[in-house]
Amino acid sequence: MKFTPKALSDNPNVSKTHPLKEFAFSVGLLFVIGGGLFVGLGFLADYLVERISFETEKSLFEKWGSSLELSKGVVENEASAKLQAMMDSLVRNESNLRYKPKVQVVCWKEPNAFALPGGTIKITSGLIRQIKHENGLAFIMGHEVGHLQNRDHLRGIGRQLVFLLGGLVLFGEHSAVSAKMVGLVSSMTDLSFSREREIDADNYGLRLVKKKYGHTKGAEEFFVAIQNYSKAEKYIPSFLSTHPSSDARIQNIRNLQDSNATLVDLNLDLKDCKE
Amino acid sequence: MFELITFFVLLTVGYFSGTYIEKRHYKDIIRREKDLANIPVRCDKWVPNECNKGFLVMGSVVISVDYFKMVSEGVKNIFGGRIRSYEALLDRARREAVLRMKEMAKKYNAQEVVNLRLESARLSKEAGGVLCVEVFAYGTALRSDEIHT
Repeated sequence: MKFTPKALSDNPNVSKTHPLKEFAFSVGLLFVIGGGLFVGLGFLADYLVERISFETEKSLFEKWGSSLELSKGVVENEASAKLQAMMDSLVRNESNLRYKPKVQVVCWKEPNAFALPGGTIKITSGLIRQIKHENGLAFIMGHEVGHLQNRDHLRGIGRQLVFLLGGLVLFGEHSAVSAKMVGLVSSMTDLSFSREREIDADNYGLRLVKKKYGHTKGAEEFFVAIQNYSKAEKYIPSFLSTHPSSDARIQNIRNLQDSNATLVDLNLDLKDCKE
Repeated sequence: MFELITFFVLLTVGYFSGTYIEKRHYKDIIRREKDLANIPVRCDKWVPNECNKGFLVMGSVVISVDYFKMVSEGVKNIFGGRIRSYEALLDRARREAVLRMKEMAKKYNAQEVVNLRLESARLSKEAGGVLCVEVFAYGTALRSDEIHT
């Protein structure tokens, strides 16, 4: 009699778990562990950054700063001198400031202000043209001094470095895809950290403005001005952006204001700037 | 942001298309296995007395993973454990290769296939790239021909 094999009713070679359930479980575990690790590493990075002295930071970044294009377009004129005087009076009685902030005007159309490691703050002419009163500009200067004082740029770099090393240790050359997902988690936590730092710098700036002028009215002038300038901001969800929305920042500032105060006019001559 | 969207779109498309193709393939495999059940396959080399003709028969198949399977495997690589989607992939490939070998044996009017061997190879461009798995099945098909005296 010939042997005819019978078809098996179930397949012992394939596990019964649903692939989606398996995937969701692994990814969930990854996010929990990854999230926990990043929070922990964030604390570590913060701790390390505070141990770097300002002098070390300055010598490390002096060469870096000069190689960037940021040194182009700087004007030394009456406007810069006036801004420097404003800055000096703003930080006059700050006892724990370890350096003297220098402020420079950069002739760029795009409104922006940034703090460079080493204590230099650059403000673009595009930004100055948007502002009519000293109070608004003083707030921006104070905000940037806040970033420098809190070592925010160092924290950012430190965090990225620590996460990168952690990622390399965990994954090496394996699976580019899981590294991509881990990169996702880290960029999300980074962005919320960055937004927190921005609000901190805002509050620092407000404190300096209040100390100089006695009130914080007019500090939000810049944000009101650029609300019309950049409509694109509305389309980026807040959890994906490095800065809190302009609306949120304006609200934060206005909540601390006294509406009866007076504003000081800003008269800056920018005719030397050819943007 | 754009990368994120692309990733999720690929993941979804990969999952649904992969699942559909797998289900359809399994149905096809089960039907053909029933049809070819009268040609048994063995791994040993014993030849019955009445069989006097033997032919080499081969079946091979190349099956690709989809994006979802690849990501799932990548994440599972961190924690370890059985990867169900890859198990299904290899099972399908093995059964399909054996079936194709049997179909070749049927063309020879063979009674059975002995000395079955299976070989599998993983084809990929780079580590972490989308890969294919190839399974090759070969054996000896046996037939008893009338001996003209």
